Amino acid sequence: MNFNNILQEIEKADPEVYEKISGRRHILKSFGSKVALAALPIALGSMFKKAYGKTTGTVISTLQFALELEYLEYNFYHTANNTGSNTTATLIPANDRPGFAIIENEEKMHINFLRTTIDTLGAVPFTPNHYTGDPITGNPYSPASYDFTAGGAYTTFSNYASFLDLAIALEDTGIRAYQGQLPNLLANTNGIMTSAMQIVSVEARHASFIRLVRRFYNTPTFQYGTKPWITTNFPPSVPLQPNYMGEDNTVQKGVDITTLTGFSGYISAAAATEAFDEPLDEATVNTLLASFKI
Amino acid sequence: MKLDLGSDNKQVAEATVMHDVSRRRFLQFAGGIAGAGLIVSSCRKTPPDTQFIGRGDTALFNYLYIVELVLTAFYTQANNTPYYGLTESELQLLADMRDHQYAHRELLKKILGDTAINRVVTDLSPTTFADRTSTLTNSIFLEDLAVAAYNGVAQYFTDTSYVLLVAKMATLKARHSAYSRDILAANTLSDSGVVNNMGLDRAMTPQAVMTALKPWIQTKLDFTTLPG
Repeated sequence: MNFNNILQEIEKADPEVYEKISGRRHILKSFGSKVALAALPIALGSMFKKAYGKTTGTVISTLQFALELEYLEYNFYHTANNTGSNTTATLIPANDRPGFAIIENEEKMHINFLRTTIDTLGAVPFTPNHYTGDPITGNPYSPASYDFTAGGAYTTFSNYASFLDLAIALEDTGIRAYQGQLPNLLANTNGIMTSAMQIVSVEARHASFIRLVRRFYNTPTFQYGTKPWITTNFPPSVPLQPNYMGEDNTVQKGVDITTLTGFSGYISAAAATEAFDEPLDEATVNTLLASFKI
Repeated sequence: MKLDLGSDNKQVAEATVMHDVSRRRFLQFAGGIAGAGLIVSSCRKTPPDTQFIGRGDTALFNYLYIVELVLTAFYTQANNTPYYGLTESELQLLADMRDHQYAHRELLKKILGDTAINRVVTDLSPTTFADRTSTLTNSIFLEDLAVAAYNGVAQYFTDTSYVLLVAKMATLKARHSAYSRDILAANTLSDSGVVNNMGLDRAMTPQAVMTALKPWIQTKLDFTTLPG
C-alpha cells in the first residue's frame, strides 16, 4: 500500500481533499510519518469520514443560527443607541456611548460576514420574522422582529441598569451559543470554524466591556458590582439566572480545576469557573431567547 | 527584569528533571519502521541546551503551555509589585487575571503529563511593572496574542473536546484584553490592529505567535514541529 499514491489519486478526483481533512495540506502530507502501517486503514477511514461526514447542510444551519443571534444583538444595540438620542435624556450616558457604538458596528459586521458566507455556500441567509429587506444586502434593523422588554418583564430601554444587565446576559449567552456550535464546524472546508472563533472572541470583548460598565454603575461599592468575567453561575440580575446555568462547572477534560495548584494553595472555585466559558446547545439558547422574539 | 531559577518565583519552579523521553521514544519508534518508507522526518538534531516541544497534539499543547507560562509569570509579577495608582477594583481584578492564568497553565500541564516541557525561563524585561501604562500595555499585548494563538490553533486539533477546551479559554483571554484596554483608555474594547473590518479577531499561526513571544522567553526552544 502506498499512502502517497492513494492521496495523489484522491487529489486528482477532489482537489480540495486536503482542506476537507485538515485545512492544512502539510499535516496530511506528514500523516504517513506518524501512523504505524497496521493502523493505516483505520486512521484513513476516520480521516475521510471526517472530511465528508459533516454535510454542508449542518454547516449552513449552524451559520444560520449564528446569524440569527447576530441579528438579535444588532437590533438590541441599535435600538439602545438611538433611544433618547433626539433629547438630552439618552438611555446610554455620554461616557459610555463610544463603546456601545463600537459594539453595534461589530454586530453589523458579523451579520454581513455571515450573510456573505452563507450566500457563498449556496443558501439564502436567515432573516428574522417580519423582516422585509433583502437577505444579503438589506438594512438589518428590524424593530418589528423583537421585543426586548419580553412583554414588559424588563425595563430594557428606560432604565440603564436593566439595559446593562440584559446586554450582559445576551453577550454571555451569545458566547456560550457559539461555543456550543463549534463541533458542527470542525470538518468545514473553508476555515469557518476558525472564523467562528474569531467572532466569538469579539463577543467576549463586548461582554467584558459591558460588565465593567455595570461594575461601576449604580452599585454601592465595587465589591457588589459584576466582574468582566462570569463568576460561578451568578447572573447580572435574578430573572436572568437561567442564562447562567452550567457556568459553575469546575471540571475541564475530566480535571477538577480546584484540585490544581494556584498562586496560593489550590485554585479557588471562583477562579476555576471564571477561567472557562461554558457552551450551550442550540435548543437551550432558543428557549432563553424566545421571549425577545416576535 | 529577568526571572531566574534561583528566585522563588513559582512560575519558573517547574521540575528540573531532564526528560526528553517522548522524543527518544519517537526516535526508537521511527527507527523501527523506517524500512516501510513512510518516515519522512525523524532525524532532528536538537542541541543539548534546547528544549524540543514534541509533535502532534503534544507540540500544540506545549505551545499553549508556553503561552500560559509567560502570562502566568507576567501576572504573578504584576501582582507582587503592582503599579502605582492601583485602585481597589484593579487590585481585585489583577489577582483574578493571575488566578485564571494559573488555572489555564496547570490544566495544560496536567493534560501534557510527562510530555510537558520541563523548564522555561521567562523574560519579563519588556515591562516596567511599577508603571501603570507599561503594565497595562503589555497585558493587552499578551492577552491579544493569546486570543490569536487560541483562535489559530483550534483548527489543528482533531479531537472535538480539545477544540471546545481551547475555545472556552480563548474567550477568557479576550475578556482580559478588553478589560485592560478599557481601564487604560475608556471605550476601547479592541482596535483595528486586532479586530478587522469584518468584525473578526485575529487568528495567528503557532509559528507567528512564537516569533512574537521571543522577547519574553530566555530558554531556547525547538518548535519547528509547530504549524506555520
